[in-house]
Amino acid sequence: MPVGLGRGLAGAGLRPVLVEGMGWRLQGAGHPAFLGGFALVLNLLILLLSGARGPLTIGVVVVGLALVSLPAARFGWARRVPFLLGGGLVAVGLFAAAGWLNEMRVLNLLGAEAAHLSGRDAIWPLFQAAWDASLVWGWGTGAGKVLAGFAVHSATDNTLIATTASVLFASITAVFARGARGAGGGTEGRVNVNAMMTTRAAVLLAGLVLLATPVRAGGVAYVLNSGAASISVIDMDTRTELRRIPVLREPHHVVATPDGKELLVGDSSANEMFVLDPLSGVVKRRLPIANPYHLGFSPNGKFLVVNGLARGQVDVYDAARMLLIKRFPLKSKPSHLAYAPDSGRVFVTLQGTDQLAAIDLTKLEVLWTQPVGKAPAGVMWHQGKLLVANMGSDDLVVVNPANGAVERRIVTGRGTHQVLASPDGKVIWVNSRIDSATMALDPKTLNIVRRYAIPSGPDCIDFAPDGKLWITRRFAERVAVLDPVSGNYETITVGRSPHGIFLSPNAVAR
Amino acid sequence: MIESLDLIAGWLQENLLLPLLYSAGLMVWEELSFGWALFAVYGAVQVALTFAVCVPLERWLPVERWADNKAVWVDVLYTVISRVGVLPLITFVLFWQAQTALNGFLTDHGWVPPTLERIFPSLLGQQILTFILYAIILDAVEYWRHWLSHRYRWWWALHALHHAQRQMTFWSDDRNHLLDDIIAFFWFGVVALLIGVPPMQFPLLVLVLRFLESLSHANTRLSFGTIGERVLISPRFHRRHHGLRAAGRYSCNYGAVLPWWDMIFHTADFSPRYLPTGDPSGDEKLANGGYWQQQRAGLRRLWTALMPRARGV
Repeated sequence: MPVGLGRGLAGAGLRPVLVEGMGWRLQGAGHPAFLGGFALVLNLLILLLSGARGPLTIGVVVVGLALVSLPAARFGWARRVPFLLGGGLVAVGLFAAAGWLNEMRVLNLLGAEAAHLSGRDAIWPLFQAAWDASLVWGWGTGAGKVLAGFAVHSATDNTLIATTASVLFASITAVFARGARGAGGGTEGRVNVNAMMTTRAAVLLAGLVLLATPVRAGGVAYVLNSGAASISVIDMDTRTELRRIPVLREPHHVVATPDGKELLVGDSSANEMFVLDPLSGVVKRRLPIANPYHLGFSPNGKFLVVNGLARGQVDVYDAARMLLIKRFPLKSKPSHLAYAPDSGRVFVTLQGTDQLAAIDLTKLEVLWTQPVGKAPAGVMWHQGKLLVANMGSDDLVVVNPANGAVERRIVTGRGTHQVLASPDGKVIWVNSRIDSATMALDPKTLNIVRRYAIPSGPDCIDFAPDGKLWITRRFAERVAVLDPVSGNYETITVGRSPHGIFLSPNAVAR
Repeated sequence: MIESLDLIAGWLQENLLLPLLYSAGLMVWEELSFGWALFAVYGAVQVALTFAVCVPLERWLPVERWADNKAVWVDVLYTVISRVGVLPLITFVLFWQAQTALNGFLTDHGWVPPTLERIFPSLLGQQILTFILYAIILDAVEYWRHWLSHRYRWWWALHALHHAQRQMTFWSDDRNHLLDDIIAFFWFGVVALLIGVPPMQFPLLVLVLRFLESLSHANTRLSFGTIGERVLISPRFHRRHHGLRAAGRYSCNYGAVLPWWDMIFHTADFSPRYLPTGDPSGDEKLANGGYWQQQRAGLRRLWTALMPRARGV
C-alpha cells in the first residue's frame, strides 16, 4: 500500500512520502526542509493554542530572523517578502478576528481572567526557585543549564528545536523545584536535601545581612518616579532616600489593598501591576494588567477600578480574585477616580473630553457622562457631592453625583490638579500645577483658608501621622514635606518626575 | 549631570511650557510636554557635545577641505529641527496619538503588548543590561529599515536626500526627507509596540548613541582599529556607505551604531580608503538647495519613482 501511495505521489510529480530504510519510514523524517516545516508549523500551532505568549514571541522572532537573515540562493527576497508580509497579515487577521476566536487562550484575554494570562506564571516561580537553588552546577537539570543547553543546542544543531527543548527543560526543572518544595521521598529525596540545604544557607546568609543592616522604626515613604522607572524608598525619620526599587516603565499611582497588607503600583506603559509588601518594600508579585494609570479599591473592598489613561479604558475588577469583570471603553484619557461611599458607583474624570463619567457598579453600566470643565483631573466624594479639580482652568467644581450637573465653581489656582481630604476630614487639600501652590480649604464652606507656595508641579499627597503633608514635585525630582502649621517645607531628592506617594509609618527603614 | 539637565527641563516645563499650554487650552498635553522638554534639553546637550568633539576632529584630521562650506549650513538646520526643535514635538504628539489609537484597538481585541522584561523577568532591575539589549534590537531594526530604504525605488527617492550631501559632516546625520522621517517614526512605533521600548528612561545612554551616529558622519580620518571597527561604527566605516559608488539601490555599511549586522549579512566593507561622498544620480537641488528646495526635490523624485510614465518606462 505505501509503495502504491509512494508511486502515486511520484507519478503526480511529488516525492514519495515513505522510503525504505531498515523498514518503511517517513522519508521526510530526515529531510531538513520537512523538519523545519514540521517544527515551524506544529510548534507555532501548539504555542498559539496553548497561549504561551513568551515562547510564542521567541518562536516568532526566531522564525522572523531566520527568514530575513539566512542566505539561500533558491529562496531569494522575491520569495521571502511574501512570507513576511503573509505572516504580518495573519497576525493582523488574528487580531481582527480575536472577538470571534475567543476560545483561543492567546486571544481570549478580553473579558476573561486578566491575571496569569500566558499560563507561564504557573511554572515560572517554580523555575525561578530552581534557578535560585542551583543556578548552574547544582542537581538535576540545573536551572542555568537550560540557557547553556539552549546555546549549545542552538549553535550545534537547530535553534527552533533548541527553543522548544529549552522550554521543555525549563518546565522539567520547575517540576523538580516543586518536588524540592514538597516532602517527597525516593529519588526526589536527594534533590530535596540539596535544595533545602541551599535554601537554608541562603536564608541564613540573608538573615546575617539583615542583622548587619541598621534598623530604624520611623516608617518608610514610597515615591513613584514616573520618569525613572523606579520607586524611591525614603526613611521618614531621616528624610533620606535609602534605595530604589526598579520597575519597568512609568509607575504613576499606588494604592493599598483593603486589608493594608499589600501595595499595588500601576506601571502604566509597561502594562503591569507591581504588588509590594508595604512593610519591607519587597516585590511580591507582578501582574499583567492593561495600562494601569490611576486605581482605587471601593470602600467595601469589593471592587478595584483601574483607569487606563492612554488606552481610554476603565476596568472594573473583582478585587478578591483580581478578575476583570467589565471593561468600559471611555474616551478619552480617563484620569482619576472616586467612589460613592456605598460603593455603588465610581466616578472617573475624562481629561481628553473635559467630562466626568459615572459608572454603576451593580448594573455595570455607564450612568452618565457630563462636561465639568477643562481637562479635569482629581475627583473626590464630599458630603454627598463630588469635587472635581479642573487642570485646564483655575477652579474646583462641585458636581451633583445624580446627574453630573455642575452646581458651584470655586476659584483655586491655574492648573488645579489634585483634591483630597485630610485623614481627619478637617481640611480639603488642593494643588495648583501652574500657580505652584498647595491650598487648604474649609470642608464646610470650601473657601481657601491658607495657600502654601510649593514650586515645580505639586502633584500627589499623602499624610504622615505627625500631621505633615508629603507632596511630590513633578518637575524638580523632589518631595516636599510640608508642615501646615508653620508653612515651611523640607525637601528630599528622589528620581525623575515623582508622581504617586505612599507613606508606610509602620515599615522598618532599611 | 543628569539631575541638572532634568532640572533645566523641569524649569522649562514649569515656567514656559505649562503657562503656554494653559493659555492655549491644551493642558491635557502637560504630561507629554515634560517628556518633550527632557528630549529637547538632552538633544541640545547632545548637539553641543557632538560639536565640541567633532569640530576639532574635522579641523585637524579632515578627509576633505572645501573652499566654501555653504552646503553644510542646511544640515545644521536639519539637526536643530530634528534634535531640539519642532520634530521631537510633532513626534511626541504623533507618537502618543498613534500609540493610543493602536493600543485602544489592541485593547478592544484583548491584547496587552509585552515588554522584554516580561518575557525575560530576570532583566528587571538590570537597567544598563536591559538598555543595551534594547539598543541592540533597535540597531538591528534600524539596519533593516536603512537597507530597505535603499532597496525600494520609491524609498530610495526619499532617502537620496540624505546621500546627496557632497560636503558630509557630523551635521549630516539628521539630513532626511520629512516623509522618510515619518516612515522611520512608524517603523519604530511598531517595534515599540512589539517590545515596549522604554521612552526617556535612559536619556544619557540615548545621548551617547545619538552622538555616535553623528560622529560616524564626521568629515574626519578616524578609524577605530581592526577590532574597534568591528565593535562600533567609525567615521571611516560609515563614509564608505556615503561614497559616490555606494549611493543607490545596492550599497554597503548600512549599520547605524553597530557594524555587526553588516558583518552578519555580508554587506560590510572594511577597506581603508576614504572616498568622496554624494549621489551623482540626484537633482542638484538635493545637494545644494535650501531646506524647502530639498524637500520639494525629494517629493519630485518620489513622484518620478512612483509613476512609471514619469520616468519614461
